[in-house]
Amino acid sequence: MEFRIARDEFLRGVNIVHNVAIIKGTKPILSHLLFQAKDNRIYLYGTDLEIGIKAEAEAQILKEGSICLSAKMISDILRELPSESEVHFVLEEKNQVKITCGEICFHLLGLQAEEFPPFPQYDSGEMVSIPSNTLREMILKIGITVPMIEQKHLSAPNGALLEITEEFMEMMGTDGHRLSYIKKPGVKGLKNKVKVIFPKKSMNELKRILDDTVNVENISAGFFENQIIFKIGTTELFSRLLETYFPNIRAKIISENDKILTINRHVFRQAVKRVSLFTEEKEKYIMLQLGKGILHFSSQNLGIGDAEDQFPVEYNGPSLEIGFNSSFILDILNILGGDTIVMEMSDHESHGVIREPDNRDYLYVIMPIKLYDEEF
Amino acid sequence: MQIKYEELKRRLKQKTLDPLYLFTGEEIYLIDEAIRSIKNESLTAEEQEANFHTFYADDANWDDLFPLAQTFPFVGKNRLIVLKGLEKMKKGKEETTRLLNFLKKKRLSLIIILTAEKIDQRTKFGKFLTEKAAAVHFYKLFENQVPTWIVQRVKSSGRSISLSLAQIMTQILGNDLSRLDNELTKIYLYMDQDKQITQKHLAIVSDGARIFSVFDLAKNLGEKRPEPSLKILNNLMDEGSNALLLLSMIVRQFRHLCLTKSLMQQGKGAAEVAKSIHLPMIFTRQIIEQAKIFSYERLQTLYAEFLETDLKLKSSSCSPRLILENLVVEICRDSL
Repeated sequence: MEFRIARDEFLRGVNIVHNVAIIKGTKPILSHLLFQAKDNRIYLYGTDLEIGIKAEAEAQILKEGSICLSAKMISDILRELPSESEVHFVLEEKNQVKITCGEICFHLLGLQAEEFPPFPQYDSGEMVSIPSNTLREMILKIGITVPMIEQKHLSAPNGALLEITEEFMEMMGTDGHRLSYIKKPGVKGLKNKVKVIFPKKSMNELKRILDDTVNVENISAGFFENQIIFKIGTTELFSRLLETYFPNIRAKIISENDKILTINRHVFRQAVKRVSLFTEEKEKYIMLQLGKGILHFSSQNLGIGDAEDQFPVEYNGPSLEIGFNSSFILDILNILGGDTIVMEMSDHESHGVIREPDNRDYLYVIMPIKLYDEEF
Repeated sequence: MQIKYEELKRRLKQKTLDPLYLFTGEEIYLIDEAIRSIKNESLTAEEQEANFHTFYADDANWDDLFPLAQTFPFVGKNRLIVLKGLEKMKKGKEETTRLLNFLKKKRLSLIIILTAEKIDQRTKFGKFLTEKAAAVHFYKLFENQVPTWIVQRVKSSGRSISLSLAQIMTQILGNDLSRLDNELTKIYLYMDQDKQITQKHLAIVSDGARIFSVFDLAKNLGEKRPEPSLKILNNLMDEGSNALLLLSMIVRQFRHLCLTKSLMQQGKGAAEVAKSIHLPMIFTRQIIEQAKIFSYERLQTLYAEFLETDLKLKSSSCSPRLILENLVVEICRDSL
């Protein structure tokens, strides 16, 4: 195996796949990436057995072959090489690789390519096309409510519910305290309705690939028995699906609240940020008092003091006192664009909804905290 | 407020739920059963998926627990949080005080269950819990209470088991309620349409082969058959059976024989014998046949042998296998 490749192109390929490698795992092969040289291209593979990513890089192949190399070492080496330089890669005896770049030379021990877990084969005829910006937006807006790791005490899965039909594409996530829901136009040519739980780690990897990919309007997606496959340009992401229960929270999306406020997002965000300076360190509760024409915020930290703020709002309904976790409010205010947002509430025990004006296709539903405690 | 498990069951039946429970004791099976009952009373099946949370005190993060407890549930009205193993809590004074301050407040739509092997009632924490929580201590059942528990358990599944068979199950499987419940579940799977658990059903469970062998041993001794008796005895000893347990099963068989012999001498029929020894007719007939082999005097002599064997097993340095083999030979002496 021997090839010449531009350092920047090589590093770009490695960066796409190296994140999924398990650096400190019990299986050494999973801390490695597989490199295959053939047809004037380098094919790079990385996997943690749950997610697999395959990327390509243009190279001048002098001799075809394959080898597995430590994801961390190859990534570190390429980063230290001068940009816009050329790398010469040669597989020598006993799985040793020689990497040279001008006067710089590294010898790196690898593992046999046969040890690397095989990637699934799939029928590309079964794939459908999804606009990449749509999928990226869905992941960004839903990802904030999906827990990264499975939490024993929570029934919420560490993945988002993804439903796709020819009419609509929906994604929903929850961490037990809040939920987010987004609806987009459906996917034409879809043979069967899709309803899967897409793992958070795969969502993050897909978003990272989409963020780094330019000039790709549509991506191909394939939904198979227990896995989902995305093809973004020449990069492919394979992910196992979560086989778990997703709580039935659709009722919260359908229900509508009667106390509706239109608020300037920037003013609201600043007020929440200011007041949350005085929340308890670990429990970031703030109190909202809604009165005629005014929204009042307050917080209290028994060891430090308290904070208050208020600003005028267009509201003439009955007053309401409700508590929320300020971090959860800031999460959505940071993600939403536009100058105004709509906040819907009904009473101090029921969920609040934050959304964009005139848009019920993206909803952020947040459960209030209990304000009135009675001593035993 | 200390209450008994029966009282808790009664309150749950009346749909009375307390905001805070404290379950102590070593009988984990009954504690889990009580938690299940509260879960079923407070949450629907769908709500259980979203609003039931279990934490373990040795690694629970209060920053996960408190916000969750403080948030209204997404689905349904109640949230149920179980914090298990308080005795294993490795938190400092500050963290314990934080938990205590948290527990001191009743929260709308929140039910908390705390479990511990035991609670030090001299501490502030212990005092508060025993005073304010609905506290139930789950004692380990005494061995003589377990058969009745088995009978009740089987009855609650719509099936039945005789008390004598439940006693045998206890003798063979011990008084671990979880294990007994597992074995019963296996038996139910094999029972199909049958409603009455019999020896045949016991024989198919994991330890059923052993139970069956013990019955075989008793039956062969009742028929004075030394060769198969010695063979079964050795197999049972090789499998690690307890010699005293085997002796108790042999004594049980001869108690039946003694009682049957006495009833037969009084001119009682099979039906009356079956009623007196609490065995199904099919087994009573076997016992009647066996009773015919032994004289009443011989049975009385054997009782003295059983006593001696019991003493030897408990005090002699002689191998238990040899002691039991000698007993088998003594019982079957006339047939050798």
